[in-house]
Amino acid sequence: MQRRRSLIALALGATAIAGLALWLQPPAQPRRAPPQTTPVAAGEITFRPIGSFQQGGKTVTPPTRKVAVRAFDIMTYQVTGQDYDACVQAGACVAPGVKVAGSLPQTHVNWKDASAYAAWLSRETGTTWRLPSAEEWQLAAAERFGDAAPAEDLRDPGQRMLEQYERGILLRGRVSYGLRPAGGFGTNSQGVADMAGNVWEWTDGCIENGTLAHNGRVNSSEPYCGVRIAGGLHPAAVIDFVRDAGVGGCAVGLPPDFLGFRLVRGG
Amino acid sequence: MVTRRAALLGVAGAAALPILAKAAKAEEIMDTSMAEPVDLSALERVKGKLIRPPMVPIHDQVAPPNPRIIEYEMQIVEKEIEVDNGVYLQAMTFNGSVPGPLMVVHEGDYVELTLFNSPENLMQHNIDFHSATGALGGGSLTLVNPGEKTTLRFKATRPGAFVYHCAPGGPMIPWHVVSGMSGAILVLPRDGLKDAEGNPVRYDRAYYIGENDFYIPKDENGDYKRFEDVGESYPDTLDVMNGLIPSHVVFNGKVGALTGDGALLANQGEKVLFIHSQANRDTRPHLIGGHGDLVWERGKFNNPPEKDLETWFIAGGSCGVALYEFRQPGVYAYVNHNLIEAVNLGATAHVVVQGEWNNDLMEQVEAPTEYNSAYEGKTALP
Repeated sequence: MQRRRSLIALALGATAIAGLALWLQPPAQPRRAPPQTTPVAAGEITFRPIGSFQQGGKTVTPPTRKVAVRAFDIMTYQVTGQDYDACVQAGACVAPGVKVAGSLPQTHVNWKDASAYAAWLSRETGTTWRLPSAEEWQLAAAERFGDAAPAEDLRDPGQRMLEQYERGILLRGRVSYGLRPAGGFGTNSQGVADMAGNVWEWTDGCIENGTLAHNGRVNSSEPYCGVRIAGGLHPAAVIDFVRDAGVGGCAVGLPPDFLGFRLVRGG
Repeated sequence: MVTRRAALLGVAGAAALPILAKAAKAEEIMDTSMAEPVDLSALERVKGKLIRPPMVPIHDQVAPPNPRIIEYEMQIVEKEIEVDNGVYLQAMTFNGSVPGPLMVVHEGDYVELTLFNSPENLMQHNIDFHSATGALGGGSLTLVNPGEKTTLRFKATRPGAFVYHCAPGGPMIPWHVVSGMSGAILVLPRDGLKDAEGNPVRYDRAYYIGENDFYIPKDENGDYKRFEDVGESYPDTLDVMNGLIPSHVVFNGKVGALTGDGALLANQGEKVLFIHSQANRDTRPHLIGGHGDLVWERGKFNNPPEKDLETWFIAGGSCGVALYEFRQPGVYAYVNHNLIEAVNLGATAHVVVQGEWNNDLMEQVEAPTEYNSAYEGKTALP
């Protein structure tokens, strides 16, 4: 705890110095052209929270809910090896787990890496960039959004487990191996490229813990942000410091193939 | 191509010829021409069927009264296989699959195998049956060059599940085995399996799980190398092999081969026999969410099976057998319970079991919920 506090103090100190330095300098000119974006119009999605929900002391699958998502601009392409390398060269991003060719999406990045890149790009372009929320990602993914969750009416726990497995197999059957250059998976109906190819994208969404009321609606829920939602062929809940969740294997549950990201403009 | 082939045959030949070998080695080629022939003309001959693992050919759990000669044919195929998405191995295979197919016979039967080494192959091959007696398990009588065939007969003198593998001499032996050349034979007691009390044991399904450790070299960028042919892969592969740390540990030849569409199937209430071989390295199967009701850990049926095991041990170069009756529906993971090998290196299979959930066996009494750490849970402290 002592060490952690001193680390925080150090970080605060560093931020203060950086802030001072910024204040001393004239307002920075954008040093970098902003990435190409695609506007996504406001829309409504059917959102299924991921996490641990309970009703009357039993774990239950939370019902889906209608969510209105405001309009936003999202990067047309995922952050590439070349994009990410610029951040590494500037000393603002850590070297990635695996160096990819410049035109390929940058993979083997964790949530913190992606967030660091967003902070750097914001400084470089003079505009705020951030990871999308899970809801925004789903709206942008449009028809490419997939979910392996079993039907809400299926009662037998064994059957639910089996149905989820079946649906997962169907979704996994669409995955093709091998990274493709930006645009390699085409654009979806929103005009966004490479959604739900084989690179899952970090979002700011967290898993949630909550309770359902008697009527089955979510009574209350709290985010648990040690695990973030990555968007792809199916949502994946991934621990924020993991850079490669694609080993597959144990137990059930679906692993993402690669972890990459794209950003959304604005606060 | 011709020069490489000639060179490889030269290497294998040197290892196979004792005169040229520097160290004393067991004779690889044996002369049995002077041995007194045996008369087996009274025995019935049947054609043994081979199918791709993890499937097990349909067979009698109890044998007909008289021993028979079971005739098999196997083709040796050298070919490139994908051991993980985008990761390739120049494999050497019995009948084109990794692992080789499971043979099923009964104690006292004669196994008569004709082994074909395709002319397109580069290497010499042979077969060493752990269930056979003498001549290095048949290895000394079966060394075939590309384009040659040979027939071996041996008597299955003891019941159990046994490994077979290629063993063409010297450093070729481990290399051929870790390149995929192993399989298993199930020799059932003539009157079928029995539990420790001598009661008959029957099963509804059987699966053959062949586990392999692969040693795929990486290039300077850390990417797995892909080779033109099996010969080109040898030097780099040998370096990785000698480090003893596999790059992949898989069931049925590929990461995830027995998951998803390839998952093993069963129904609630069915007894499933898992026959698990590892020709090179120790392993420890575990059925997550289930057990081993009856386990012949060393796979030999004259020993009473152990009961109710959680994890069982299969020594490298052997085949173990476990029987489990599925009591609850859902997805089970059958793993090598070195969990690094199971999760990170690939040794995981899934069993998909249909049926109705039984809350008596398991119930979530209280869902995960927040507690007040100021006073709750103190009695649970160590």
